[in-house]
Amino acid sequence: VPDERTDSELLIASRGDAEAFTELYRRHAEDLLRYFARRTLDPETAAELTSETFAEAFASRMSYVDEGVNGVAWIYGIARHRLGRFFRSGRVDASARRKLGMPERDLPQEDYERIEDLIDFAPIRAALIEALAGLNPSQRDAMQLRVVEGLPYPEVAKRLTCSEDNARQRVSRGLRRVALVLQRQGVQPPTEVEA
Amino acid sequence: MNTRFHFLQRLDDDLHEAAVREIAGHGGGAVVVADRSEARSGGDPVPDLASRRPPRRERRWRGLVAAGVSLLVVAGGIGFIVQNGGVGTRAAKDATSVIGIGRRAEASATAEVPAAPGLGQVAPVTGQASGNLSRRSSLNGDAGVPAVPATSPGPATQGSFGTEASGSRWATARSARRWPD
Repeated sequence: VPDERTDSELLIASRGDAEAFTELYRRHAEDLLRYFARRTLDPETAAELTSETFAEAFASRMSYVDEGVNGVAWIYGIARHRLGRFFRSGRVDASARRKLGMPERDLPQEDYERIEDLIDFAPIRAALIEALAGLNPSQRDAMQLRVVEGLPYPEVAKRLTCSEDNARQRVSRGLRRVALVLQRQGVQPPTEVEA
Repeated sequence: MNTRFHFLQRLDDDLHEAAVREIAGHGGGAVVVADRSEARSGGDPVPDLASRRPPRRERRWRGLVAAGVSLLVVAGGIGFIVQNGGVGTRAAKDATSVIGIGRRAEASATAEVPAAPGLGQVAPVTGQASGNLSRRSSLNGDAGVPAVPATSPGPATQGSFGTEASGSRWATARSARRWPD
């Protein structure tokens, strides 16, 4: 039976009901992951920011006040704050997860490509090519094969004569760096609908 | 959770677990610390000090309050010293005279006035001593007479036994005590 409660009602109910917050998470987790993936261009960073945002939302749920705004907008407020911190510092801290005693998990390999599929590189392809020039050769080659030419990871690994994990890592680091460069250049990743 | 992302599925489980733990009243961080201590000690959970520690914000407020109280105490102490220092000159003079009177009072009516242990008790002693002095003076009719030496039993013997004033004080006192006999 689908939960008919609004996001605001779920947030308020989550003060004493774990299921309410889980329901809220299930409604919006994938959208939030896409939100981060399209802005950071990096699956690992997007996954970490998603975890941290929900952990902070749960830890701060007592401070939520229903003022007629959809409750998910409050969560996206936390998301924007976290994203801003990432662009300033270049890393994602795990303070909210630590506070709740949540483990820090590695991103499963099969999720890399799925999260990359959420990223639409087309609108920023030109800026990407320019940003690639600032990367070290190994990252640049991996980015060229994966992002520009769109080859699958097994093929990227074969051409770079490295493991698939290593190819993913090079692409991930390259994307993270490119995202920071694009942010500094004022190039906006494709926007999407926010609640 | 129905999703193609394994990561989101795991996060769902982790969040749910943390939410249940938090709502049940166990701090997440405390649980982690307890688990670590358990692993270290090989099974016996160590009482978790971190769980009793107040949150950082509360600790910061406590620190500020403690600093404020310390400041007030120091300021109060300085004020007290300054105030007593200003009065102190006068108080010192008073104390000198009071001590003299006090001793005389002590000598004259030892049982009536306890010795003043500190400055704070000087005033009552002074009053008592003055009262004794004035009572004695009125008895003796020697209100204008200068203060009697501190060690002198003086008016007590003079007042009661003035005719023996030229004799030994101790003898006077002994004889005074013997008088009823």
